[in-house]
Amino acid sequence: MSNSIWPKSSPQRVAKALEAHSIIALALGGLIYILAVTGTLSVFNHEFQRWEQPNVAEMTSISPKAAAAAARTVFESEEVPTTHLYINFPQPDLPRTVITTDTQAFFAEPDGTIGPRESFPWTEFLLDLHYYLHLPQILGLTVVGALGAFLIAMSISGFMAHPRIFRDAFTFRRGSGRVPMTDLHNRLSVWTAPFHISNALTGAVLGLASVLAFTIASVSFAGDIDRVFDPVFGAEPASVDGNAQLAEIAAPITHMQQNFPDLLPTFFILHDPGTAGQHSTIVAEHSDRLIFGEYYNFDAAGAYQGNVGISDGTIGQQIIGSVYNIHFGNWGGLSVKLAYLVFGLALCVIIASGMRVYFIRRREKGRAAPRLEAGWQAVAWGTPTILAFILFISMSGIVTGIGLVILFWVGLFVIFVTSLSMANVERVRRLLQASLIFFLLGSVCAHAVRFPDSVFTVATGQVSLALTITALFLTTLKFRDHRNNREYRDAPSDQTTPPVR
Amino acid sequence: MWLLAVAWLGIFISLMLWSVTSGADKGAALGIIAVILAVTPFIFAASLLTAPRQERPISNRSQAPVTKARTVYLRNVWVGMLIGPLSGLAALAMSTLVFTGLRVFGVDHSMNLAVVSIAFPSFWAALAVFAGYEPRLLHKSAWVIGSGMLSGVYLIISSLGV
Repeated sequence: MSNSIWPKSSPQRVAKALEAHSIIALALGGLIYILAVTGTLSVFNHEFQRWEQPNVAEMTSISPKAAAAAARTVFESEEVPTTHLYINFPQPDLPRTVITTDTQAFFAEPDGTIGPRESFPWTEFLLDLHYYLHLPQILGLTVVGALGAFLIAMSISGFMAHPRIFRDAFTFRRGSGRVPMTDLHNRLSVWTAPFHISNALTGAVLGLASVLAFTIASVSFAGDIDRVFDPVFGAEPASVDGNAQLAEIAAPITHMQQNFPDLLPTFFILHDPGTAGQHSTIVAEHSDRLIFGEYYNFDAAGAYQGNVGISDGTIGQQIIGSVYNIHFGNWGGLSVKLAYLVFGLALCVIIASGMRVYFIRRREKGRAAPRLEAGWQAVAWGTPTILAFILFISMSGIVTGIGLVILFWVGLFVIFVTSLSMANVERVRRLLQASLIFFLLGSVCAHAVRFPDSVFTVATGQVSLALTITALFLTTLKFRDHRNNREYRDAPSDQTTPPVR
Repeated sequence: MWLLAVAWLGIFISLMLWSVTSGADKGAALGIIAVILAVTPFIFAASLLTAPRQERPISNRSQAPVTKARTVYLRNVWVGMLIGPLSGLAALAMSTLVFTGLRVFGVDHSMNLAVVSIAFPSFWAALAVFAGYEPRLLHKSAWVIGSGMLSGVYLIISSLGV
């Protein structure tokens, strides 16, 4: 017997680690899967925003004067004074200028006039689902953050159950049975570990920040949560009573262009506009860094007051400033976004294949659970299907806002219950896949009917093409499965059950 | 074995080069992405090229519905509580304790916050894994609840200035 450099695995330890892995996956796999699917799509939220509202003025930049004029117009249209006035500057993936207040958002034209109201109901629905699972904000964030912690727990227990991880990293056993499914699950888990662990961790950090800050503030700062975050993101000066002329808007933007030409301003924020204590901030991206940006502060007259230190402050500030971008993949342009798409899909496959391994193992042990397995198929294929259905409905303009939320959860519930009663894994999967293809193509068609002038524009074309390619890819998979099943039926063999993928 | 060592060494060197050429933080991140992207297609391709799986005939072992005693259900509910909310509360108390401790030692506030922001979900994950891994119910209950209680009691006492 040859000596191996790899550690000996204790069967008991592996079994206990697998037990922990299975408990968490069975209890929370469905919700984590929904977050994985929505998170993968959320990476492209800017592209979806453009697709949902294609007939809007686009620009690579806007002049400080035009941006200020647009902001002033929106501010003056407010019935109730807003506490913050925002200008979202054009970005490479969202080349539009948006003026936002506490209650409304309008596009700005390049000449500083106001365009249509911002409206992207499906993207908003998608982001709310990923950020909060449609729960009230703090509760939703905390639940989503907790699910991030459980995804880390699954990674830890998965690694514990796989002691020869470095040796097996380069192997993939082909063949039949549970083995290739297990290998797919394990190899993808190992190779994409840097992504899914960092993503779960950053998601958990973002989601659990409120609860942690509340506890730290209660123990160390007499309940003052601002004292927890102010040293990182900078303190907001106390508001001052009394009205004033609206603060200078063009001057800070001009200052950034002249003094920081290498930076990409993303937001202008006017705090307490129209009051004696108003002051402004410009958030600007540093293209060579992972941080989401740096805060550059100005007084009401537009005089530069300094930066907060996300880019050049303490290490702690820079780490915290990098969490958001690492999670959402918006730090390296389209190429990094596409990489996040691949990794996000890999995470979905990891979760789905893990559950498949569990059900196959149950069948092999004579404890088949066809209803439960069909229920899992309802979640695995039902989630993208119902998302595509919501996209179709949203594009038709029949339902918006809370209606989409109700449709999603009721729809998913109905699919789940129906699948449980059908107890036929293959049939459930085939039906849901066909529905997904139908709604993807239906959404593209509905979009073309609603926005016929925008079919061949960049804003529309890239997403429509991606949705069509996805539908065609799924159709190919369906035909492949159909062919395999037919070959099996035609083959004179002694096999007793049809092939399953 | 040598081939594996060379492969891992190659990956390590590649990450270092990315880090040197494209910035300390962003370069390393880009390097990791490049390595994963290089491997993932092979795994997907191998999976897609795998022959369709034939289901094994269902085992002849007993398929009678398993009847579980009420105590088993109660145990499962308790384990769920340990893995979920109780591990979370314990992790929260432990993280807050770490923050308080590092503050006493004069660690910079932002760094302190960064450390405990990462520690909180990590503690939660570790306790959840332990609660699922450890077969002895009393043992895991004592560890999860004890770690939270000890941290919590210390925090309460210290915040009261006793």
